[in-house]
Amino acid sequence: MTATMESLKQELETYEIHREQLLGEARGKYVLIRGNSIVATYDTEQDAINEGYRQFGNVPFLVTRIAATDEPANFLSPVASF
Amino acid sequence: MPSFTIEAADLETEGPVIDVTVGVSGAAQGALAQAGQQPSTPVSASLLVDTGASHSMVKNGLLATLQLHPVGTVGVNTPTSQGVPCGLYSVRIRLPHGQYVDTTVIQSPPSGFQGQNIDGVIGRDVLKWGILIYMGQRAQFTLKCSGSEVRRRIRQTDTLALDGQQAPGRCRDTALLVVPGGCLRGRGVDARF
Repeated sequence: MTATMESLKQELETYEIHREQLLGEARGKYVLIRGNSIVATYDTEQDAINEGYRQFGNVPFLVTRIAATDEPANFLSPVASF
Repeated sequence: MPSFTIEAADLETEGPVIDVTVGVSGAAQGALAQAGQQPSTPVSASLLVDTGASHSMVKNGLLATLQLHPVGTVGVNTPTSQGVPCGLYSVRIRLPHGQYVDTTVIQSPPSGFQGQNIDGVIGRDVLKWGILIYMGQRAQFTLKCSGSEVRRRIRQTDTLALDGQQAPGRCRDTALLVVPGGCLRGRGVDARF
């Protein structure tokens, strides 16, 4: 597990626990999670991030789009390969 | 819309590379200020404008001095890998013409961008706010980008300040402002929130 995943381990687990419920309530929106708490959902990623920094400061928190499956980031050029 | 043009004799071989700074996003700056901390100095980076990249991504370690924590994770697909989990960080990318975009960038694994002359790529998460013009015959490219002044989709309830005067308006997308009385007609558009 990468350091990033480790620092957001609890938030990622919280998201998985509540994913179905969130899909029913706010599919396509962005959820802000800190620890085991679902803070709120927002229309945009930036709104959720702003609120995360406002409430918690510069600490790890999770903002993710509520979807049935996680959306990957795609890089078509070999320049970004690893 | 503010723009900059770069002439690059090696445009065909190197691609459209721009020198930017990557710093703490506006939201994170506010959090640091509340905690009585100064945000770290932005770091310089050479980023390739890559229309094949859904997100912006920087090489591992570039963000270290900013002392940011991740705000998310994403699985990354490249021509040689599938679903590699990477961290997302909230940053401010300042472009050569001074405009900036607050966005989330992916930090690549340590093996990313090794042996290359770039520090990362600017993806469609930034390009969606602008217009990219690639002029191969002139070895030039132009990027027009309003930056974070229009960094989110304008909502119908937003009030737009046009040339310093408040004007209630609505917008279909970031490139087309529609306001009562056609008051943008004949003007350079300067919309702020």
